[in-house]
Amino acid sequence: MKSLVLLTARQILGGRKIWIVAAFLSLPILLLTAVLVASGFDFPEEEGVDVEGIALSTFLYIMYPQSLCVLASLLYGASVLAGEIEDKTLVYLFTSALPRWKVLAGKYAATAAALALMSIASMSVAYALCGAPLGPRAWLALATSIVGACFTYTAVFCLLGLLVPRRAIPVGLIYAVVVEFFLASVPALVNELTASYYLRSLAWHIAGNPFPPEIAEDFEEVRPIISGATAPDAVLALGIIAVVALTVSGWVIHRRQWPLTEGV
Amino acid sequence: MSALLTCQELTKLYGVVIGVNDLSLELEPGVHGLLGPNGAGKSTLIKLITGQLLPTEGTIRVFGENPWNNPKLLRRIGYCPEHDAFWKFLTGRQFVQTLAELSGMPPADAAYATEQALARVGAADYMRRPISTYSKGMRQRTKLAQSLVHDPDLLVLDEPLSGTDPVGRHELMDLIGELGAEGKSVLVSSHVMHEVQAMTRRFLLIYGGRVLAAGDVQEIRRLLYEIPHRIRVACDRPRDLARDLAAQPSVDGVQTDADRGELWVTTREPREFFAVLPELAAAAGLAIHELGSEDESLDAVFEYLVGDGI
Repeated sequence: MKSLVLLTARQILGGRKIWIVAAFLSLPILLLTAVLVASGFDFPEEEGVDVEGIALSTFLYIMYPQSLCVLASLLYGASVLAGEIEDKTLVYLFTSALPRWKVLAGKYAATAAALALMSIASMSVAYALCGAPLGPRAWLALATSIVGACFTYTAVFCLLGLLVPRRAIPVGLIYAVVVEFFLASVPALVNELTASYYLRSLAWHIAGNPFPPEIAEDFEEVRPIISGATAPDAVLALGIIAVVALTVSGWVIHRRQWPLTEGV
Repeated sequence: MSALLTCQELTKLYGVVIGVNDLSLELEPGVHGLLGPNGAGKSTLIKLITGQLLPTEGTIRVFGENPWNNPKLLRRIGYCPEHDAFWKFLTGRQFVQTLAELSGMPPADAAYATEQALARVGAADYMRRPISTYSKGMRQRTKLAQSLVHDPDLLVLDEPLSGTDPVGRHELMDLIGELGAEGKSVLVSSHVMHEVQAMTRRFLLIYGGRVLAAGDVQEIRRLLYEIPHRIRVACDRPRDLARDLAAQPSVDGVQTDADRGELWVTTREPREFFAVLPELAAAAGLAIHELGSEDESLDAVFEYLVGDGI
């Protein structure tokens, strides 16, 4: 299993798609650098409220766990096995003594972990450029959300890649925009069916309420609608989404005959 | 001891295309050549044996077990695919060792077994180079090494000699013979009969997804012997030679093409024909420039067998 994880990590770092992910992950850094070079941050001051810290942390949350991690997970998750099929190397994995579910689990774990590490590295640079707004707790909240996003979305998109291999990217993009962006923000029960809802809840609980008491009370009234799960519930929900997606993926690869080689 | 391979009414369809057609057979452990022209069903049978495909109908058992989703059985099988497939950013050593570890060997054992396997196939000199720099022959040897590295009981080799140079081909044929002598079972596919004949005397002839013949080399030879050979003779005065040949009992028919200075002889007894030909040419005082046969290819043999409804 360890050799499969290392092999997958090398495939990710040495593949062509790494440049696309690198471009994604450098985007927030470039944007922040451009703003800093041009004029620096200029947020309106409000007594007792760290407007700059809240705004920059929110920006980083939207950029990383909410957007870039989703896109990177789609890019790699949808092709957890497709890359091996394309290179005709899946035949070695599926004719080895490793059960198919372990092949899937190993490649998934390596992919999600590599994406999470790259995203955290990029976010840390961006966070430092912002001047570490809201301190280490906000960094921890962002890092935890990134890990949650990479592991959950990679599992979801891995399943998508197995179910609709040729249309995984467009279908995944539609899912990301419609479900994980719009529906996750709809204040109704439906948002509780999205991973995004639980990621927000998790980040909120780890970061802690940044508002002063008088504002915090007002915010608490609406917060359950957009991020109402407790931290343990959020972790549990994200885990369930990932495990269900992986279990169905495992069932699919257990039953499917793959075009491992050509010819009759 | 379980049979190496048992197939009962085994059929594999790809939509409407037949890969294997109602195939029943039993192979005992040993080295077996799987012979057939391209598209005969060899690769499909190999994919069924190595658990890559599920039968559409019928059953297949390797060492008495179903190979589909059976990691325990797959641990006992070493598979060398026909096509070129590698993680090309790895060196040959890393590639083989990775697959050794995937087969369940601890890293230290895998490292040792990798060196042994690569040395055995003659790939030790370049095992530290990236596979992307390898020639076709080097890649073939590396693929063979990965199939050997975990010391399997059965080696399934799909066209293992394709792309190798004559020296490499000879070495690999010797190696496969050695493995058989060591008690390993080997199933080696090829569409070139003389290659397989150098490795084993037990054949399985497959065509159109069916087994045409199974047995040792004598039985196959007998089948081949019954096939009329067409032999081209380029010579001076082909009409004179044709007249003399027509009187020979070993010759079934003669056609001449005087414009091209050649004639075509049909014979079921090529040995006798080749014995008498020089004598006739010498007696008539004519020179033979070229001899050739269109019946040497395995495709021709199979077409003949199928044409006869065997």
